[in-house]
Amino acid sequence: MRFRTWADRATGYLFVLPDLLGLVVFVIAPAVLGLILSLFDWSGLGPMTFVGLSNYKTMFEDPIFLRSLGITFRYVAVFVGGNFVLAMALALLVQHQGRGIGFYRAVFFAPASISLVVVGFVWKFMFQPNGLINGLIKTLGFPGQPFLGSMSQALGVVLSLSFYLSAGYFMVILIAGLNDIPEQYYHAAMVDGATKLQQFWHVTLPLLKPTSFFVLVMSILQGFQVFDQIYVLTGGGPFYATTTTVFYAFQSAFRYYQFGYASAITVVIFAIQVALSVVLFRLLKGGRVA
Amino acid sequence: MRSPRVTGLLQPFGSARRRAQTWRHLLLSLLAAVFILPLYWMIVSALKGPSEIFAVPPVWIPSRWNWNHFVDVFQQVPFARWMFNSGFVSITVTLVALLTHSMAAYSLARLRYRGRRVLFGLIIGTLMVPFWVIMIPLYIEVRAFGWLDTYWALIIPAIPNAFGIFLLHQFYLGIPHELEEAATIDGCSKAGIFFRIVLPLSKPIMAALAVFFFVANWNSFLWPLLVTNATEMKTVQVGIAGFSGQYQNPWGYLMAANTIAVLPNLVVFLLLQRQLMASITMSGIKG
Repeated sequence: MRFRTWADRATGYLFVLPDLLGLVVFVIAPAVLGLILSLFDWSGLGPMTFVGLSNYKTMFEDPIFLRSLGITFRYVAVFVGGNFVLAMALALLVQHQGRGIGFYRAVFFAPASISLVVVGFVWKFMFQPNGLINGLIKTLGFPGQPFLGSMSQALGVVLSLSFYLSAGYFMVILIAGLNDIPEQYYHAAMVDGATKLQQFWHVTLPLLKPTSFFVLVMSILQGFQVFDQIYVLTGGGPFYATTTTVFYAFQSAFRYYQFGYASAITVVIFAIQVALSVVLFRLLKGGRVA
Repeated sequence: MRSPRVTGLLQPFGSARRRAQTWRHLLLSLLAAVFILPLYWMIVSALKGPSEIFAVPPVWIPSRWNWNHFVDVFQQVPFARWMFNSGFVSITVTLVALLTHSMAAYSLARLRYRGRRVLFGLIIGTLMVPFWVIMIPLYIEVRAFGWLDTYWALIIPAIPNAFGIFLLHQFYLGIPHELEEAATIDGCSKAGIFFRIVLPLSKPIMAALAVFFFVANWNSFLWPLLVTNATEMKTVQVGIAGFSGQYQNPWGYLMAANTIAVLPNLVVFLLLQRQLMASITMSGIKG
């Protein structure tokens, strides 16, 4: 369509301008700045010293950073896998309309809309040495567990909270995907005598590939992002047992005032995240998954 | 959706089907109980006396309702101010974001001008940058603006968001050209078309996005944590998280604070659950 006046021609630019400006100043510029900052030694105040790649070198001699990488990968792997299975199970259970299904959908989805900080505190309360969970365990006659105070259990508690918060969100996305699968495929499979499990394996999963891909990539992004849970539940402890790489970057910057080093950490973890997403994309496009 | 009749044909025994249904509902009820438990425990603990909070076996219903914790929250910390801050920030961000996102999306989807494709690519590209990648430089930037401990820091950087632009862009692509042509013939400008025709048409998607933005901003934690330090500038999430620093956590009082902080979530959820789910579904399908 042709524009009639100069005002119409200007409208295009004027309409994008506010958001574009916002994104340039508050997303693109900081991203570039972060890359530059990673080459400096800076406490946040006072002089900045150019140190080249030395922040990156330090990282690979820093035991806490290396450990945080391991913790991050363990967390992301369990979160992505567990979340997919859990969300899929919920989606399959409430996919079809029926009596009371709306209620169940709402209940499973509710935590996804609630503040992480609030639920995090409730979790911390429930997992106290003398909290609800231990109360239940002891009532059943088993010994109480240290949970958040234990190096081997703390990450598990963080994960359980993450599942609680995300399962409903991904359930909603999966339900939409499931409802897009045409009925005829199931009819055909049933006529061929396929069991429910075979139908799921040979009809549902392959046809759900685009949605699954979206869910997997989104949960990888979310998995790397984990912060609020750790801040509220464990503060990264005990003895760094729940210090993920992003949490370590936060601490390096805002607790130890190593802004340059912290920026270098975010650059590396971002590179890893992008690489993972690309690999997943290749795998799924190649049809080797599902 | 599968028709029940076909399923019935292949599963001739009605009683077996009914039994499967019963098991399904049992499983669903059990799962629902697990999902509701933390929220129930939060509310019921806020109402307990100190002797019952950590009792073994757990006390499911307090012997005496104790409302003191709810009063304490407002007396010992500026909780009302925190709630106001969260509400003011969330509502402002939502309104401004809806306006600027819809304008940008309309421009990118429906208007033709030089550089449009590049701009669209640039804007959508920002979706790939997670918040923690920019968190440190963004903090430094906002500090340089002198915005720490002000509403500017809480509001302005939270507005630009390519997610909203993307969803609205997809929606605007689907609006028939005839509508615009008719308006143009009637002498309407591009801006007029947007405000008089396109904006009213996009009410449903705007409602879904509004709910999504409000909830996301109400729940936002890391950014407000970084830019607020003064007690009266904290949002409710940051205020609550501040309790965790204390050596002895007064749990009953904390659960009362959590219960109040979650009320807007619950209200939005109960009234606007559909819109919230819709915004998530849209993001999933178009992804």
